Amino acid sequence: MPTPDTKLLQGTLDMLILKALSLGPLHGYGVGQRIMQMSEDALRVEEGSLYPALYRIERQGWITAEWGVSENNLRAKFYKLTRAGRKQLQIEEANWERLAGAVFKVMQTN
Amino acid sequence: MFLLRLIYTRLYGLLRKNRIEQEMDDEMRFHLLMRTRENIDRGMRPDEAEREARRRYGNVGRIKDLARDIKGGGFMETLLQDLRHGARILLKNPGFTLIAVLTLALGIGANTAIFSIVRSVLIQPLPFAEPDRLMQARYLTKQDIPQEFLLNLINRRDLVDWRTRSRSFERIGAYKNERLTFSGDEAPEMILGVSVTPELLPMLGIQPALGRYFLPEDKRDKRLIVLSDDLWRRRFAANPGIIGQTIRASEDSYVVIGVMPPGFNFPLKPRNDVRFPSNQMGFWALSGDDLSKESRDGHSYNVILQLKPGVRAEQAQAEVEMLFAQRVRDNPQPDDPIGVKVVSLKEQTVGEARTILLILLGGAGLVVLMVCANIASLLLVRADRRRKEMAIRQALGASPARLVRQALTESLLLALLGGAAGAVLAAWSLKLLLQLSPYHIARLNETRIDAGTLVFTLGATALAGLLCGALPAWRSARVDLNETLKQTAGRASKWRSSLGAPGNLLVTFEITLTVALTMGAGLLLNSYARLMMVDTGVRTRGVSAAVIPLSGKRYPDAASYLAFFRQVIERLEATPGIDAAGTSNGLPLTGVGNALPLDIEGRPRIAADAPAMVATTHVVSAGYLRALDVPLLRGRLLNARDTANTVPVAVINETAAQRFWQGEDPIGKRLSFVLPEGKAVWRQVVGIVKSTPHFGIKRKLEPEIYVPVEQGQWPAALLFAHSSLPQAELAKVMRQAVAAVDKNQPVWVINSMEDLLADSVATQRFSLSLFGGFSTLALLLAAMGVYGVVAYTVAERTPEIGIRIALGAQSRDVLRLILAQGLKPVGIGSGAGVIVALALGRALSSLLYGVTATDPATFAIVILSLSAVALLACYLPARRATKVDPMVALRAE
Repeated sequence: MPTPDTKLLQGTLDMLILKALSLGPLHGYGVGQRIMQMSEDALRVEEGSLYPALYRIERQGWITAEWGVSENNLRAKFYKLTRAGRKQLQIEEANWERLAGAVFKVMQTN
Repeated sequence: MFLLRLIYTRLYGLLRKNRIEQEMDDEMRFHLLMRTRENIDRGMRPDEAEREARRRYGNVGRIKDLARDIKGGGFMETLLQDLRHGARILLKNPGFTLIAVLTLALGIGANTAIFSIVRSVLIQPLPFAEPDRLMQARYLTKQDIPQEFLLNLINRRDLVDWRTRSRSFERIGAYKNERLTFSGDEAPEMILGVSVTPELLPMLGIQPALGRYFLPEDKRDKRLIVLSDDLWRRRFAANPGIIGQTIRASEDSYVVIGVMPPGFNFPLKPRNDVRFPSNQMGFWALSGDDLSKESRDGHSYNVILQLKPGVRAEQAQAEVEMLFAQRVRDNPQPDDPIGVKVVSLKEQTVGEARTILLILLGGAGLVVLMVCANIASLLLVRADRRRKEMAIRQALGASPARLVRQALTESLLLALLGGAAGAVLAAWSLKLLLQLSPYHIARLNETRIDAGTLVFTLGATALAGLLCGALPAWRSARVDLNETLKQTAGRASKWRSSLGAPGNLLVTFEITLTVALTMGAGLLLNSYARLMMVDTGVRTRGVSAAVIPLSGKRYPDAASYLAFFRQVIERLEATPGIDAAGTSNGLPLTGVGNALPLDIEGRPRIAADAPAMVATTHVVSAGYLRALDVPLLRGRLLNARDTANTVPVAVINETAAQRFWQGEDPIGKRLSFVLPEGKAVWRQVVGIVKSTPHFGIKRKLEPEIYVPVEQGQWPAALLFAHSSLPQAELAKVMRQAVAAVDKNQPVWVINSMEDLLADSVATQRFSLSLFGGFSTLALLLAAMGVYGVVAYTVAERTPEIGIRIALGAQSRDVLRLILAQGLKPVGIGSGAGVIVALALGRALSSLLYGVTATDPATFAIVILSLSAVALLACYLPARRATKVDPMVALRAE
């Protein structure tokens, strides 16, 4: 049984997904790939966390899903950011910057 | 298990079609495919690539479960998801599921079956038009006798008085028990029926299916009769042309004026004395009695009164009481009762059965509570083991409400399975239950498992589901996320029983119920044992009684019926295996007999503080006293030398001697029966015999007087024989003897005295057998509950026990530790149980005989046996605790 990834701060994964989708619609696999690319392979999102997170965000109304055809001609479910999702991403980005800045300052203090 | 699997498959199939589910599958497949391709691009072999993709994806079912929780969806979708989840969990623990469903089925089944009886007997209105307006009157007497006995019936003088003077009633009708012999081509058959005044059938408001019923203007000189549907089909081939025709019955002619619809019956209350194959009345004949004027003929009637619209029962009671008081003042009689009571016809019909049925329903209710508590404790243990899963799901966004809902769905599913099995069990066992029931409970034949009963079952099932699931659900939702997730091992808590308070609470509750139920069973068993030891005064073993009412037409005088019985008795006594045969007009232990007012020579007839001058009079042949082995105390018994030409004599019982002669020696004194016609016959008392509980073994002893049939003023109608033959054989011989003397004389019914004795304690036996079953089940469940909780605690505390042993604790210290913890709720529960049992005992008191509801011996035995069971249930896991190897236990840390 894989232990769900609890190392990410609560809510961080959601923000990463929103960020990944802000560049354009993606299927679930693509979201994972994109987060990996964007983090230069530092963050690997487990499937056990990715899909529940996608469903949770979908339920919040920040993303919508529809079936389409993937780059290699397979049927795939694509997720797209909604207006509410875009707004949420802004809020989360602001929050994150504040938090990250604060943490950074703390860590800089000798 | 088949049923479970079927439901699971069905539900699963349903869900496969579910859109969301399908999409989730598709999405997962796509993901795996993409990952596999990527792996192949990286240089893996195709099979290796796919395996890696799957491994990395993880537990598919689990992710889907979690996803489903989050996605939620519509109400039905959630419900189906929960059901599927529940079904899977139930299937995973077949042992637990089997026990839970089985015990629930027993509990709900017992409730359903008993409720179906309660519903048809007590709840449903009587099957008449406006049944609420129908009342019945009965006398209140000094004697302790059952309500339908002759002495409680209404005398003609009061009936006529009420009919002419009362204002509360629309109509007042009356009926008397009758029987008719139908002969013809087939064997002669005696049919049970009633003679009625013309008002009676119209009061009930059920129209005949054919013809009409009686009208006030019908002349009493013509014998008019209405047939039951059953008799009409059986003896008259359902001939619609029968209306207006004359039929022969009991050497008389009757004109058929109507046939009642199928299922109509009146009176509904079975006779309490002799047991007949069926309580269906065959006919309603117009009474020939003239009720227009008063008379002192001693006739007694069952009186049915129809309230005028708007008149309340209390007003009617007050009026009838007033009329009765006036009549007693103006025209006192020696056999006057002490009062009169007007009760609803429904109360009169089923009132006697209310207590026992409600007690049994209550008992069955306690059993269901017990089953629920037991399942709850098992679920609690399981919920505890699943704490981590619950924590993870909450962390992933499943709300506590969602988890509670899912836990409840699981227990409801369990209850539903148990309820369905219970309904099947109830339908299957109802027939057996009805057979066990005391036959004289009215309307038992209307009992069936129908929609109304099933609504009750469904309600009970839902309630049971909620009761089972509430506590475990609440526990699973109240998980401390951080605490639980931090723990690496599956164990929730190592240093204390995490089951703690709720587990002990359930065990306490189970013990309370068990003590109450077992106490009820103990008291009933104690009563029954005492009843079985009551001295019947007469011999019952090997004695059978045949009811043979002779036709007044063919046996018009004493000489003819005496000759008939003499011949039958001679034949019987000549049969090998039969050592005594005799005749009588009464039936011991049943109350069947002639209760007559009497005069004692030299005593005023009505004295202020005199006891009721009434005695049951047995008109017997000498062989009767031998067949029933009536023990003589003083003087002599009746014998063949007491004939019509010798001095009239009487043998009295001990109770009569005490009540009527109070200290004087009755032998040689004279008494006379007060009869409406003819002059008094003074009889000399020649012997005193032991008293028999004539009205049933639970009743007090009443005065009885035996007079020789040759000197009797009434015909005998019962034939007794004592034999070493089996009962069926004896009955056959008795029928043959009667047929050999007169082939047109039917034997009405033959009962063995042992059966009659058994019938007289049928209520006690019935309640005892059900409560016995209830309490056995309760004890088993309680043992299971105690065992389950203690075993779980021991498993949980193994590391702690290991440390204790490592630090030098001895086996008996560990034993004491575990027993003390396990037995604490047993002690508290026993205390609470005694309190509940005291309340329950008060409800049971009408069923008890010879013991009080607080009988200390019964209480002590129950507590001791329960403690023994609980101790054993604790000891088994506790002993396991002493065997803990400290090294192993500590390494597990």
